[in-house]
Amino acid sequence: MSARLPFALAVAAATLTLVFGAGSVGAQPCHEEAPPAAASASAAAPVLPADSVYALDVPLTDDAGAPFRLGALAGQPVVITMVYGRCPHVCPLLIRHAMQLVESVPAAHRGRVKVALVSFDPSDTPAFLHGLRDKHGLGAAVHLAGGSEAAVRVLATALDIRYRKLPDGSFGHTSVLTVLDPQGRIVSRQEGGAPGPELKKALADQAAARPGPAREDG
Amino acid sequence: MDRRPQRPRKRAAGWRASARARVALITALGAVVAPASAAPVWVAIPAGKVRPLIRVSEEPKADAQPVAPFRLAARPVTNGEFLAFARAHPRWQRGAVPALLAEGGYLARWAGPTTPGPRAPLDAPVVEISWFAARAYCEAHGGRLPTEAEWERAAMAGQTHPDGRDEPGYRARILGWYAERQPDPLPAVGQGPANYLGVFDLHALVWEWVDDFGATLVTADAREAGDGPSAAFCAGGALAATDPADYAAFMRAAFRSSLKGRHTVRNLGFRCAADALALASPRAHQGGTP
Repeated sequence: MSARLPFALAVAAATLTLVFGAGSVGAQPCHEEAPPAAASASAAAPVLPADSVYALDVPLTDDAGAPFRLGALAGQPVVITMVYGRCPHVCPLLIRHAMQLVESVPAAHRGRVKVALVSFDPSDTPAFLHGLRDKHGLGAAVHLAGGSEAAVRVLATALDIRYRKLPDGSFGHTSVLTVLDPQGRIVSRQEGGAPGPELKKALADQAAARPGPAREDG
Repeated sequence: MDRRPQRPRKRAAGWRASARARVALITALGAVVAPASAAPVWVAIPAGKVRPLIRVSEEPKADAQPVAPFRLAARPVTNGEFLAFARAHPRWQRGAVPALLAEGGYLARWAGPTTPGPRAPLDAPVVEISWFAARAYCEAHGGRLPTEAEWERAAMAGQTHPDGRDEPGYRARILGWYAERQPDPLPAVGQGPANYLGVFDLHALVWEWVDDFGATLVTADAREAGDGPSAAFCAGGALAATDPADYAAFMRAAFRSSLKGRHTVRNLGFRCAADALALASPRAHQGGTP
């Protein structure tokens, strides 16, 4: 289909990022309270736009066993996808595609991109997910997390990822790569296959649109 | 001992009577309780099995999916009930819900954010509701959305038989409803006959959200999007269908698969479910299947 719409979205998102980006990283021009330190950690932080995936109530646990909110990734573009730990073929491919997408970003901006791999199998323990990190050689930019059946169902539905547990304990699922802007809004997505040009462009645009000075992540 | 030969008949009559009594009780409760409070009237659904639409293994019987006992609301949620919820939770009012959680048609037929108006009678099922909103409603009422297997398990019951497939006219009745034009405004919930389990409107009035709505046609090893179960659609037939005659179930699955969580559809409502209450002997309450 037309490459124009996603491009327009990316431009619009980048513009919004430039306009509102400063607000998202600490200053709170429109809201009275909300301590800046908590802004990136709490998914309910009022700085997030209503359409942010980070505004969803999705409590997760990362592969170190610590509580994890997707909102912690606010401030930089994110590639997010959902997999399950015991997945034999499809998920390793999906992880590889996610990493290919990140590597397609020009080196100057690549470091800004974070990756979130969320398991839709509630039985994937943090230790098991950590095993995936080792197995696939995933670096610090990649966040692995899992959650309750309810939490992952909400996230998957918001990302329009379909999955079903099969009688043998495996999962049937769609393979979807999604690019989120620094405020957690969906700017581009692709179902199946290696990342295509539209998805790559959307991520590159997001990564290049640097809002204000660099900051330390809390 | 000497009455032994009579027992089966007596029992059967007893079950029928108790099913009727249950329905009457539910109806009475609904009439009394519904206007004052939006608490769902639950019907206990005994454990059962549903057959998956698409065969997973070579042996269809092995695919039968067990469904644990659960509770299902006797009727779909009404406009009046959703109004009470929207008043108590303004973030679910029309105009306040972000597009991520509900598309533009959300409660579009309502006259205003807290005014259902003439096109949405208070006792009619609420429609144009997103999955996220339906889920939030059920959570606020101590429940959840039913899973697809739970919904199908309850909807499998006929009016007089625990399994509608044993009942003449069961499938024709469902397809007949599917073929009908939807009245506008919709009529009140709970008007038709309850099914064998005491649940109203499963095959009437509106289609209903289930928690795992999008996954029926997803199978293992769908390497690419839309790969899907090729045997299910091969040659336009239904080679992997467990029961190709069950068109109605296919229609439901196809409809559900077409949905996204933010969608709002004018003939799509919902009802809540909840886990079974922990009873000492749940069997004593349920009409067992012979």
